[in-house]
Amino acid sequence: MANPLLRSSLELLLLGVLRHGPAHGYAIIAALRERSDGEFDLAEGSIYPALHRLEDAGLVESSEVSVSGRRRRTYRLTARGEQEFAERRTAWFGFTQRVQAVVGSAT
Amino acid sequence: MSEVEAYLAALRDRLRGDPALALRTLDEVADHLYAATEELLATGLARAEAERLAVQRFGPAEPVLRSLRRRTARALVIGSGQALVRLAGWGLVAVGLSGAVVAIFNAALGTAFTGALPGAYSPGACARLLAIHPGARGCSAAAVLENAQDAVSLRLLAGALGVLLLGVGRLWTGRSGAARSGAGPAAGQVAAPVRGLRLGAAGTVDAVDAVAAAAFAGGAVALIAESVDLAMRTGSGGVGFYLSGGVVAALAALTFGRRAVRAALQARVPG
Repeated sequence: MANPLLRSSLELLLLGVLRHGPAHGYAIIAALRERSDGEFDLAEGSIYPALHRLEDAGLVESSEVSVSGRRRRTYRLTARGEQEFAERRTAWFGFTQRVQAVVGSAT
Repeated sequence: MSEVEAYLAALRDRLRGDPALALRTLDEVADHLYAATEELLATGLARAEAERLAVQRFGPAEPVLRSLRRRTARALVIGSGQALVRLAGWGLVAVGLSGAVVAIFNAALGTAFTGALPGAYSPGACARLLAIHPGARGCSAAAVLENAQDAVSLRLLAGALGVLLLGVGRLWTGRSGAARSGAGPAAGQVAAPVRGLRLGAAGTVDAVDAVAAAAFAGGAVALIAESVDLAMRTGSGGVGFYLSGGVVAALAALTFGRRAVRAALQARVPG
């Protein structure tokens, strides 16, 4: 994952994807790629440490299901996770607006 | 061996740490790589190419291995905390049970068996003891009553605290156990069999039984030695004070020892 901006906002992005419903790791990656028009194309293995951190913090929870003979772990947002997402999103918008006010628009 | 299988075999060789978490890591990476391969196959790629691309997109295994190390350490810390709470809880419950044994001694053998501890009492202490037990014939008789009654009430209080602590420990273990093994299958889906998944890190919780057995055995030896020493000095006065604890500690050591052996014999290897 070369983009430091992407790395620092990965947890917010994961919460943002899971806000739309439970998903397993690969589905989360696919959603990230799709929603960012292919821009957020990161080393896929790197989302798992972030998911595990979110789970340890009680912001997401996971359960195991059997899918075509494989064990699949599905993640979903907890009530605390939803709250945390709302707070982090507000903070993120505030931050980007202030950055923009300083550096100006790209166009 | 296909590219995905080779990646998973190499990962399996490098997995270290909590067995349940390691198994979970392997399952998660395997599901990811197979799901990616299936999606790439659906776009018309040949299998070898699809697998190569799936592995390439997943990237190096270091991030998941780091995450496993971090979670193992975290589980160990949590598991040790839970073990300490449980050990303290069982210790206090044993103290409470020894209070019940003292109550039996008091009723069956008289209060002197537990209460007649050797020692001299200052005039101040005597006055206090006689104020608490106005019916007693003299200072030593009041001290015997006080010791024998305290050995019941204070120990029972400790036992109640122990039960409370065990309840707290149970709640805590249940919560972290659910977080580790997942919150159960989603509605309408079939859960995978849980294979030998145990609570606590790397058998920390299982170790509670063995540690408790050892601690209780040590306590039993010390307390019974103390009661024998006292019996040789006083005949029977105050012997029950230590013997009550020694009997309970010995029984607890046997109980926890049996549990530890049974758990060790029934332990299953995840995978």
